[in-house]
Amino acid sequence: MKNLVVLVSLLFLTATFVQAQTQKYTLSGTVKDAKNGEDLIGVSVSVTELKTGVATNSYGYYSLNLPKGKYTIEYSYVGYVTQTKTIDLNNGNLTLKVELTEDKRELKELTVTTDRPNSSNVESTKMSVVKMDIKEVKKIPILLGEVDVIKAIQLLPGVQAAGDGNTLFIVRGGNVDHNLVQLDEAVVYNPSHVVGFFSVFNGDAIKDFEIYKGGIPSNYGGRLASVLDVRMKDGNSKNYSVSGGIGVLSSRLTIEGPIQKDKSSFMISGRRSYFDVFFPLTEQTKDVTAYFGDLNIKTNFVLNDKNKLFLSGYIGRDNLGTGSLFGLGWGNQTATLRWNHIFSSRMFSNTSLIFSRYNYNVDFNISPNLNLSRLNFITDLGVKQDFSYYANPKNSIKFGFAATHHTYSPGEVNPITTESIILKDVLPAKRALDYGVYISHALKISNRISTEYGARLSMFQNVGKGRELVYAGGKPNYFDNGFINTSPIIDTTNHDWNKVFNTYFGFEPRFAMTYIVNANSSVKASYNRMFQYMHLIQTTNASIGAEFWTPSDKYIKPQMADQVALGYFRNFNENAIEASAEVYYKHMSNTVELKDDADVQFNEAIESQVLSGIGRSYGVEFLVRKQRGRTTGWLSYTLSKSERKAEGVNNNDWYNFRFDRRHYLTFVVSHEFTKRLSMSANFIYATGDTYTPAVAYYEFEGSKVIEYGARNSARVPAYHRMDLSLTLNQKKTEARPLWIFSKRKFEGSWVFSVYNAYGRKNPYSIAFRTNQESGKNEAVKTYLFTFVPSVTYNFKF
Amino acid sequence: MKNILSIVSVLLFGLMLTSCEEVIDVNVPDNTEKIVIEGQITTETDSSFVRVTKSVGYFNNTSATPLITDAVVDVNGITFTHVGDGIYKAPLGYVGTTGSIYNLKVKYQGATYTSSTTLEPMFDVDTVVSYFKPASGFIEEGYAVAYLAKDNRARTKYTYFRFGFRNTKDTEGKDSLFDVRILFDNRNSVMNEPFVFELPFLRLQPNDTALLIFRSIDEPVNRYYQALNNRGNTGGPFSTPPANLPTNISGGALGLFAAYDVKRYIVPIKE
Repeated sequence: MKNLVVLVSLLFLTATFVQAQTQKYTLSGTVKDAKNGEDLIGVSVSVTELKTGVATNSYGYYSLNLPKGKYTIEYSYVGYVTQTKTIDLNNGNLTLKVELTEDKRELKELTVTTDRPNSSNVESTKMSVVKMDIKEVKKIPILLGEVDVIKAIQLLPGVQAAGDGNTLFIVRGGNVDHNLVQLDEAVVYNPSHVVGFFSVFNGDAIKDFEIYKGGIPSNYGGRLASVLDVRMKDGNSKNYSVSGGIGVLSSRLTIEGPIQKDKSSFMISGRRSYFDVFFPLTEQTKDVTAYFGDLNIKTNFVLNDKNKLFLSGYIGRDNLGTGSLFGLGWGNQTATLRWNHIFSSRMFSNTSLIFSRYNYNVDFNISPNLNLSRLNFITDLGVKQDFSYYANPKNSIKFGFAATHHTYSPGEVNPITTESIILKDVLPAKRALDYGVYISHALKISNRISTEYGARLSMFQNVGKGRELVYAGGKPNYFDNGFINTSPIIDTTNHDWNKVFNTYFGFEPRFAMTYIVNANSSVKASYNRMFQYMHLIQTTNASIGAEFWTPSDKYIKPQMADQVALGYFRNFNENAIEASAEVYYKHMSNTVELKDDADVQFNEAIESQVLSGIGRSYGVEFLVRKQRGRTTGWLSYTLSKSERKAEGVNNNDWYNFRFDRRHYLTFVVSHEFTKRLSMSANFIYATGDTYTPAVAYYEFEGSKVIEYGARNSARVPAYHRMDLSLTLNQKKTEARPLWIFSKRKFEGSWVFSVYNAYGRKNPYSIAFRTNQESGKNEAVKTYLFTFVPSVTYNFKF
Repeated sequence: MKNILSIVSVLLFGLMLTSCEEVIDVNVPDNTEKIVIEGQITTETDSSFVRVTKSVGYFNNTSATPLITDAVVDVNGITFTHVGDGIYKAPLGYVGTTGSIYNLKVKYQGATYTSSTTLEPMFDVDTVVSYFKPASGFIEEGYAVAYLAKDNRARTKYTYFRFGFRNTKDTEGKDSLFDVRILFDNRNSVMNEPFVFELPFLRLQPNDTALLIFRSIDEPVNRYYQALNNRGNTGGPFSTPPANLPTNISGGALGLFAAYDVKRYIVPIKE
């Protein structure tokens, strides 16, 4: 902690020292979309004369401290018309609010654009990161036509789906719970709807998102592999607008508009699936319930030039069940209150209050005397303070802290009827405090070399009220002759409210560096260490809601990862084509591995059901991406390997990670034939997933029992598929869409798509069983989606 | 609109149909044969036995289970002798007693396999009743069966329960047990006071005979059966990762050695 204070003051000193040499003034302001007033994130603001610049932050804010003089400032952003402003910075600080307009010129012109699109991917110190606008996501053909952020990132190098059609994802060989998924800074603990086939992110409510696979900046912490930072739209601050869509699976409606023009706005966006409407039509499905729904709400207020407030929230719900017999439900709720404050033109601050909750329940009602309802939840309440200090174009410092209180309820069982033989039982809740302090310094050492380095100090504490189990021998598991045994519980220790009974610290250095070779190419390197203090306990292949999070404690140590990456970035064709190649190596320790046949449901002794392991993952990723012109898209290829090792598994030898895939190739292309007609296609090829093969069988109680071989030692056949979509935009018309609106432009479009167009039966899993008729043993593959067509109608007015 | 609805329902139905299964050829490594021991000591006279066999390569679909007929089998100092089909039995009149610990020793070709299990007591059922219930959901109409009992055992005792009906038409009088192994424990249920439990999903007709078999088991045996039950759930999104069954036999053999206090109830269904 003391070191961190010294570091901060040192950085400030350097920054002020550099600044003291000549008289300087600050140019600051915001960049917005001229049409709807949305803040634009990552706009390149460059000073032509000095060949330097900054990018706007998450709130569209920028600040440049320059020697006094006259400058030409260029604001450029992909898909928008570049604006150039001449400023006179001789008479003091200047504030410049800029609004960029979308590039809507004829397509013909677009292809021969002479604009200089920014080459920030070459110049910036960021690597292993991809930022995507939701407009780009909407072009990608997706399962059942649901626009899906997570399905889009699964097409990027290094990010892969954990199973066909699944929204759970893995990044550079990490586990599915190694990803920090945030919606407006609130952690989303289960980003899935419909047992994992659709994500909770409603495409209409999302502005953009960024995914970090490596070189993770120090303002993020808490997960080993990646950060998926999703940002909701602020709401149109210029005009009222309504948009929506009617799809095969669900319908969406979004209403947004100004509360006070250019000062405050709101956005409300809802979705609900409606396939359950058809269940009553058939005898087999008439008792089935299955639906999801979600609601995104956001509003923001510009209080004055220095203060802005944002309030955003999300509520989602899934329900699955058959009559009164069985029911499963889960949902996330998040809320974020943010306050942007500009202390001075060079000091930007954001304070956030964050709430997040995830809960699930499962009900069984087998008979009047055998029924139960089980509940389980996690609730977070946190505060986050982030500061950005823009010393000068060569130096900027980010620092801040975060504190979160977590409450984990591992389970509560209640009888549904009074005659039930099941008694009410509540497993004691677990509570924890999670802190992080960070600092990061972005420094441009020379015109060729820039670096961003920093550190995060994290602390995790188990706090009361809580209960700890005491095991014989002090460990929940012991090894005897290579077999794992559970130690008997000999006592329990109860801790009072707010008593800290276990503390972990993590020092997490982060480093990134870029060497600019020439205007079109650069070499980058990064290193990051990450700590993860909470772990997902999941026994099934897909998200069914029954998985739950558990904190690190006396027995379950925090997971830790070290990652190094080295990359070569090169742009071609006046930056129209971006290409990169990255190699990475990641070492993970204290990974949480489930024991065989782990008994984790409603078990207080979770620590006795998991093992501590290590992991290693390495690979090389190639990406070629074209973001402008009639034809856009990317081609990516990953060659990688990921393994795990844990005492008591696979004779203590290394074994393949379940989603270890040697080759992974994706090709995404979208082409606009005319203003009204466009087509998109995806192609994916992946080495088959691993599985554990049956090697023998024996007889027990008159039936065959399978004996399995080494864990994940066999592979299913390769996975590949192609998805296609066709978008037909209707002619824009002037109409009154509803009686409450005045005459306005109405835009409509039809999207036809096919998932897995050539109907490959991609194996989801392999099972071994005895054929009931022939009595022979066989291997059976389960496959899920072959040739799934869909049609969606989208509208906007 | 009507067209869209029909398209949607066709698509949804199509989606359900298209998620399915297919038999495939896979190459799996050959596994060396292992000794398999299936042993049980019960409180029913002459029903205790130990069976010794060998495992077979998974896709070896032709050969019958290899039987071991020349092993030396000993339980608490009493020799079990081979009586055919790989089954070893104690001298006539053998019966297990509740509260005892049973130690198994099997010697075969220089190797020794051992195991130990506790014969825990089972609670008694007071009465078994049946009553008519109309059809509900996918369960047809018929007579439901329930039992009334009082669990007077200590906390954390395990029960392996099977039920079915006696097939009176079969000349051998064989019992038809349902394929479900129900495992329950009293960690979280009513104790020391009477409770009623209706057998899930079971509907019988008049003149059928309901069959209820309760067996007490110890914790390692419960773990084995639980893992065996998890096996039913393989393939598809909800499956759990496959794992070998946690045998309670040491020395490298597969299988299970269990001791049961058996309580059997045979109840004719009356109209």
